[in-house]
Amino acid sequence: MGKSLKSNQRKIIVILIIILVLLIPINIYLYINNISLKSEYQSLNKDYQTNNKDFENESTKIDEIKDKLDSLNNLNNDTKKIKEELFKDIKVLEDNILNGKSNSKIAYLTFDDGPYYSTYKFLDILDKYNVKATFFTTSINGTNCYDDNTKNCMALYKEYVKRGHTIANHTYTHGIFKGLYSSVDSFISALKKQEEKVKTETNGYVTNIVRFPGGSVTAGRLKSGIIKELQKLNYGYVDWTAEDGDGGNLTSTSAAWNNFTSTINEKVEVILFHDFNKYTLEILPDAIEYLQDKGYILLPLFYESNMVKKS
Amino acid sequence: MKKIIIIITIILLLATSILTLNIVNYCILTNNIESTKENLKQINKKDTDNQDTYKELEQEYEELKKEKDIEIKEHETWENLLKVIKEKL
Repeated sequence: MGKSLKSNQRKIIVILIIILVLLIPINIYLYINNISLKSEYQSLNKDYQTNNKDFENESTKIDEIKDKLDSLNNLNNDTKKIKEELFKDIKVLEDNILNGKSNSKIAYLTFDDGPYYSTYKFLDILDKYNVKATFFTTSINGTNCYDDNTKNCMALYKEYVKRGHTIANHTYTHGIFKGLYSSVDSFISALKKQEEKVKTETNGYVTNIVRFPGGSVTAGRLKSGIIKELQKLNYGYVDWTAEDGDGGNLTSTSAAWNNFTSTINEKVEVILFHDFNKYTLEILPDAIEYLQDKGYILLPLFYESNMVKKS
Repeated sequence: MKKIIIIITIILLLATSILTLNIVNYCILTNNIESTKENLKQINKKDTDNQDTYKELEQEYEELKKEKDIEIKEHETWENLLKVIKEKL
């Protein structure tokens, strides 16, 4: 009996040892395999994290470019809002200056009678000083430059806007002695024709400021009738408070400079230049520096300005 | 003899437990690997789609930028002037 028990116990021990011996390599195999799987998983997970980060970056870039596209699509509205705010602020500043509440000074640089074949030189100088001005345009020669039938300067219209200047109306014909002031209708017709010209050449730029060729006084008895029509068209008109005399018989640079400096007396100036005059071209850099030294803020004209008359 | 049987049984139980753990671990890891592979595949696809979308949008943006060159310059001008005037007020 005792022997049989011992024999059975031995058998059990042997069986248990066999099972144990089998289990140990299986465990070792699985353990090693799991280590390899873990490493594979970690590597895959790392790839996933990297790719996910790339994906998120790409998504952020897409959001950013979508925002940029939206802002480009809404650019006109944004510009309109900025202009409204700016003009409101300039008007306040102008009022403060004119009421003696502000020591600031404003100078509106204006250039008449372009586009002209020397206009690019004027634009380059303005660019150099980062000054924006207003160009009162005319189309005396139809599709060509003022005063030169052989040169086409129509690209200048886009260039004015591209370089940040404002375009204003100086009538299509500029015909002071050719019937422009023969009637209210002839003036308004020349105004509308130039308005269309500006729109066509710039793909839609709209101006509502006019300068009478020769100044508003040149319209004589027609002035009040023209102004009434301008009001209906939502136009304002502007003369000038300072000039270098380049619209008349200017004979030297020094004469231009003396004329210019002697007329700068007001806190808000509208300065009349012509972008065809070589003497003006010569004094322009000094004129800009002169104004800046005297503390003037140089601005392009805008409809709401006190200097743009509405009646 | 009985003691030996008990010790061997305990060792055997431990080995069986380790085996169970290893098997569970194996299953979890295999499952994780499969799901990560699937996620990776999807994220790669999304990433490729995103890259294509970005390229298209970028092209659209560049074209619009060229088209609106004048408006952009005008916008910048007024924006800068606004800053100058705000400082003076």
